[in-house]
Amino acid sequence: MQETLEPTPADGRAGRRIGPIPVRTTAADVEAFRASIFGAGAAVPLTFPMRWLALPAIAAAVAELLQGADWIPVHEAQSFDYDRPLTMDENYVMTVDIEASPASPRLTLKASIATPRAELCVRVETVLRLIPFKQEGSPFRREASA
Amino acid sequence: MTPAPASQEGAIYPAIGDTFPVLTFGPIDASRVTAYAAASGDTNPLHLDPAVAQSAGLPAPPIHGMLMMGCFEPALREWRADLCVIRLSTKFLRPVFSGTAIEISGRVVQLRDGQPKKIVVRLMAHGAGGDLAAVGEALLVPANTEL
Repeated sequence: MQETLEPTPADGRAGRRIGPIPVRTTAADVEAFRASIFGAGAAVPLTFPMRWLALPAIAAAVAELLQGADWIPVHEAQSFDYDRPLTMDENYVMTVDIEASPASPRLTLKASIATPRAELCVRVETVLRLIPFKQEGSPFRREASA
Repeated sequence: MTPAPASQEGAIYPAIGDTFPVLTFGPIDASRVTAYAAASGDTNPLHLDPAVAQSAGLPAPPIHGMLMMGCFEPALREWRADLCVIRLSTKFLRPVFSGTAIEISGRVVQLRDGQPKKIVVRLMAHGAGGDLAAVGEALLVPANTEL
């Protein structure tokens, strides 16, 4: 996996590109996800790629962009835009661009998921609003970096 | 709901203004939230631990917004299994707390010209007390359409 720190834009936003990350629609994972959202049938649920956005590499990049601030991420908006459906037990590659805007403050994740032959399948966009949270003992509390 | 006549390739398009029956999911209890957390990898303790939710000023753990959004897809399939969703978007407005049900409803708001036509459905998720918890939009085409 490659990880690239993008140049910081002039408007103060910070960004990071993660990937390409190999991901897979493993049948057991898909079926567990489908069952948890009351789904039926054999298709890969439209929202299944959220599982891949929870990968540790992405969570770590998010934490780094937030630079130790105390925060609660609140999911504000989400979209999935499909060019072709994901199919069961197939390999894909995912690239994620993460952008943090201190002015908002929001964090936007834009993921592209494609076949290994670079055929785009789905674009995913997640918008997280960041709410300050400074309560002592909170599991969200992070120590400010030195 | 009265489907409009087919306009191409035998597809039966809904009409603007058509609605589908309200579908209730849940009550979504802690075990469902835990199952979603495990399946999605979103193990944010806010959704799983009542004490953490309370420390954040919430009366109970909120269910994952994505669990709520995930219910749009089975609702759409229940309405029209012959249509395929190619875009789904949602804005999350209010938390829905663990132990309550959500009601999903939808209405056709636009038919976009093209080959094939694209059907725009406005979606709503209501929580306890009828609070509007999320609004969404789905773009659908007849199943088996080559995009």
